[in-house]
Amino acid sequence: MAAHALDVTDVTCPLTWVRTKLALERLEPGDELTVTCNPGEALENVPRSAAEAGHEVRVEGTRVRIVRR
Amino acid sequence: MSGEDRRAFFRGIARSAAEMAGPPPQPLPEADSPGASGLSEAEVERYSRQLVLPEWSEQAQLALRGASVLVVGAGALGSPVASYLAGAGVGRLGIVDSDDVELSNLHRQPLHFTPDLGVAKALSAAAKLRFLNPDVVVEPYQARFGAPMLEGADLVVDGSDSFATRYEVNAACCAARIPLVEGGVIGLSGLVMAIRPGESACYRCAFPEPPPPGAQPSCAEAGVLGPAAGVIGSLQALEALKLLAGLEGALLDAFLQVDLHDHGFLRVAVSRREDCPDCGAL
Repeated sequence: MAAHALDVTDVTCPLTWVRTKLALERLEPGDELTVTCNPGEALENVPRSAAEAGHEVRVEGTRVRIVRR
Repeated sequence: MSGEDRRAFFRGIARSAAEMAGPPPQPLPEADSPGASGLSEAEVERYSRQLVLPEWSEQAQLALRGASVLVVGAGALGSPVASYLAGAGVGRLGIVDSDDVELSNLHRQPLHFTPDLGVAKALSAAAKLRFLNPDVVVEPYQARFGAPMLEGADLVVDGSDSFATRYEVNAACCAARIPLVEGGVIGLSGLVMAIRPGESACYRCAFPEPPPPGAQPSCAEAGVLGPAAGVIGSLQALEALKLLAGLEGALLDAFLQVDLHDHGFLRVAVSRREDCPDCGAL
């Protein structure tokens, strides 16, 4: 299980989730991606979209930890 | 200003703008790419509303970028087909049409505008498509469809307006085993069918014989409402994207009969015919 990081604080919805989704597509199942989000819309949408896509999601402050399914 | 002067004026503007847009660009540099062989940041933004779909992916987008599609006809069906395929990021679009833009075309062919009257449809369409997406290589063919145009094509979308051409395109695609999306529209009704030659029923499997001469009015004789053509062309573009990106649910071994008088969408199952002269031997 490899750990990866992504910062989406420089973009807005829906690019926050698009960037996250593309990053996840490049990972192996079980790999973890830590996504740094701006509070507000991104911090609400990224974890929700990741959970809807079936990934395991944990939010720690402004960091969203996603384990690729 | 007379009508002719006004058209020349607008044509000049369109030409200048097309020149400013420049030649079809080469693939974007990978310096700003997230991955070595992946999409550039500009591509991620341009295609973000389709990349965000659960059904879509970077792989699907890259498959589109690497694809070459031949669109037969730059008219009522070809306009939405080519617009959506260029917008979606198909790498190369060949546009086939031997006609010039006429005033009576404009109500249903949204790639052509009044200043384009008299311009070859293939060239008029290509100019708009390059504006829409400069990353797409657009190759206009100012000619009638011919099998040599299939060279290098991964998919064909047929938006021609005659049964003769439709059967010719079907036969050529079967012979070359190139997937095809057929379509036709008349009045407020139309038909769409996706075909993987050798794997699914082809157009001639579904319709072994063209209607006898005179039995089927042409679009010019019977008329057509622009939005009806837009619906059918949009469905063709959607089927093309499904085939190119490997999405599930392509309209294979079936045709969709659309009657927009009462919004009827009827999916009619069809099977391959062993004795089909076009695909039976595949």
